[in-house]
Amino acid sequence: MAAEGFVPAYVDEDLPLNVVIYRAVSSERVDWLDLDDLGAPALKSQAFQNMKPSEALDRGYEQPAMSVVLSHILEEHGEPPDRALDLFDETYGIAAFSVSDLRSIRPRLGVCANPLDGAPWHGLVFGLERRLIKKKEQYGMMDAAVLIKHPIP
Amino acid sequence: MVVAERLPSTRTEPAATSVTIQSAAAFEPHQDGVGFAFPPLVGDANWEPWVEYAQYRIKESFRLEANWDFEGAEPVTHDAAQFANTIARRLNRDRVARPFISGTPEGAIGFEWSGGSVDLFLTVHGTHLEVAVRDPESGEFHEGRPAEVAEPLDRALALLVN
Repeated sequence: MAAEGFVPAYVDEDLPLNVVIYRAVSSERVDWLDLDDLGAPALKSQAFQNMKPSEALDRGYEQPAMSVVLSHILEEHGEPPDRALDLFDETYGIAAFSVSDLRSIRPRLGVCANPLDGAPWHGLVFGLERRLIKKKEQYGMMDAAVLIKHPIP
Repeated sequence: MVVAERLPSTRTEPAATSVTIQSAAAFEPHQDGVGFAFPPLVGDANWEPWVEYAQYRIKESFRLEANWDFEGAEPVTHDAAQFANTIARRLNRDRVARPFISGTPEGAIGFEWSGGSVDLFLTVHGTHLEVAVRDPESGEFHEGRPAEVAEPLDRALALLVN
């Protein structure tokens, strides 16, 4: 249930459920001592957090949100998911989950395009029921996400 | 063997000048009684201590500079690093399974257990602990200070003790 009086700062877009949400993940947010059968380190919940509120304000965001890249816009531009790493070095990898996954998370999260200079595929995931993305929502994204590109420790 | 002591939910020792354990008092219950009981140990020959891992991860997190995550993270505070060392030793003493340890955006240290029968996250601030615990099957979720979530925290720890 939404906190009384809370109105999200962004409009939740009605994206197709098969749109993929890509999130750049630091090697600090995966467990290198917990590898799956393919050698992928386990994703941890802190990989899915909003930017710090003061940083969000500095960047002109009214509500702290999580930076992501959206597959449908990448495809429009003929670009690969690796573009999610444009601003990062090799210590970052890419986690992916779908809009369908996002819709199953409670408290609810929204998603919208947020084009940046040189990155029209940039988007935001944000709280629809409360201002910050908290641990429960982080767990929801951690459950759904797959590490499609490993960071290098 | 039954572990009856309580993990401190707030720092009890004065701030020290290095990331090492300075006082055995940190292992004792806080005077206000706020803390959480550890469940009985059942013994597991496969359990391995992870103190060195914890010390390494805490030091690595402590070295991260402001905005290391490009999302405005604060550097880990000295008090948080020291309290995290205390917590790690206490958890090791009681043969709790190894957590994933990392800095948090607020300058705290996070101890995370996930991917098993319970999800538990301890946020170790310089002066206090915050807890988030989830049953991955039912989705039951609790968060707050240790005393506020004592029952689900005890159940989670019971599943994590080897």
